[in-house]
Formats: sequence, C-alpha cells, structure tokens
Amino acid sequence: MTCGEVQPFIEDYADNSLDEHTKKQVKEHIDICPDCQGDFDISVSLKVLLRAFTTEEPECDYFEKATSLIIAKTSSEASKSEEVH
Amino acid sequence: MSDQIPELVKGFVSGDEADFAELIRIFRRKIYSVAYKFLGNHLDADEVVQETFVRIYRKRKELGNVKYFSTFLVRVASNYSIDLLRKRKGHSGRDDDTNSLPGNVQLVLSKKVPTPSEEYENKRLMTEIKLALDQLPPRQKLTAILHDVEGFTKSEVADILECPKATVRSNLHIARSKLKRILKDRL
Ligand SMILES: [Zn+2]
Repeated sequence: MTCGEVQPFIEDYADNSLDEHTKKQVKEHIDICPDCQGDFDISVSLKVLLRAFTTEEPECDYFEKATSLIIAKTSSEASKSEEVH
Repeated sequence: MSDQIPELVKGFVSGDEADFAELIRIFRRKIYSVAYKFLGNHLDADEVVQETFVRIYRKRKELGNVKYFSTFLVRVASNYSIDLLRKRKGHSGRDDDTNSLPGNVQLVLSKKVPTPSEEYENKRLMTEIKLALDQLPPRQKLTAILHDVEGFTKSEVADILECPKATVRSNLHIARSKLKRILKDRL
C-alpha cells in the first residue's frame, strides 16, 4: 500500500475497527513509513486524550435530588391526566 | 446490569413507577455526563437530565417499539442539548458558571481543598480539551463526545443522531482533524 492508500484507514486503524486483511496491510505500511506512523501516533494520542476528558462531579446528593424532582413532576402529570379522563 | 433493562422498560411502559425510578438511577449519570461535556456547565446538564426523563415518561407508550432503550434515551437528551446550545448561543451565555472561565481563574474559585500541582495541570488540560470541543459545530461536537469521549460505537452514534453511519464517520473525521490542529501541542 502507498501512503495515499493508507491515509483513509489510519483513524480506523487507531479505532481498531478494520477487518483483519486491511489491518494487516495498513500495519505493514505503518511499520516502514515514519510519516504514516506519525499520523497514526497522533490519532492514538487524540483518542487517549479524549477518553481522559472528564468534567466536574456534581454535589454528592445531586442525583438523588434530581431523581426526586423528576418523579414528583411525572407523578403530578400522571394524576392530572387521570383527572381529565 | 444491562440484562435487566428490557424487563425494567416493560414494567415502566405498563405503569410501574418503581421501574421508572430504577431506569433513572441506571442512566442519570450517563445523561449528565454527555450533557455536561456538550453544554459545559452544571445548570444546563441538570436541565437536560430532568427534561430527558420527563420526556421519556411522556413517550413511554412508544417505548414498546424501541429496540435499544439506552440509545433512545441518549437521543432524547442529545436533541434537547442541541436545542439548548442554540438557545444559549442566541444569548450571552451563562455567566454564573465557573467552568467557562480559564483554568487558573476556575482554580481560584474552586471550593475544593488546596490543589496539588498535578491536579492543577490536569484541570488545565481538561479546560483545553473543553475549549477545543467548543470550537466544533454542534453535530461534530456531539459526535466526538459520544464516540471518542463516552465510548459509544459508530452504530450507536448513528442510532442516537438518526443519521447514516457514513455521516458519523465523516463528522468524526472532520471533528478529529480540527481537534488535532487545536490540541497539537498536547499530542
Ligand atoms: Zn506512509
């Protein structure tokens, strides 16, 4: 495979979503081509970085509070619609 | 955990409130996480969590035809999040949110105990990623968050966003190309 042929597969290779045959061909090229190896490394680094992306945790009782609010809201809607029928 | 979901959905559809509560417990963190990463602040993420489950409750009669409850749920949350983002962009944004501030300002305002330098560095990095994602258009941003951050498969993302898998792939490719450029010093 040439660089041009390998390029469209680099992200899929980093995602590990290529079929075995294509994977083998891409790997053979990347092993001998520093440019494509570099692109592959950047794709992997980005994946690692994004997987590590976290946001702040809400206060510890937030989820229980939110659940209670949701249930209160839906129960009142349910009883209202029963009154109508 | 996931094998109990079809049973819980069945119970919920037939009016079992306890099953509804259990479904909320199982999925609330995931919804919050996607919404927070997409919208960037607690108040909006909270609104998405509450509104998503209220909408699911209203649509419960349709759930019998839903193949995958979790992707259906994330779809409702995603659609609402996109609407909310558009609405917020029309206004000046939420000023009361400390997470929209640069990392160092955020650190000063943090309620946490004094932060070691590692945590400081990590916070800076998270802020950089957030700002990079913020530069993407909504659909690309959501695709990157769902697939690359939250770990949904391309098929699941296609199901959530109701688009062909090819669209997910191309949005992901464009999003990643931009992110690589913006975050190049970190890669
Ligand atoms: Zn090459």
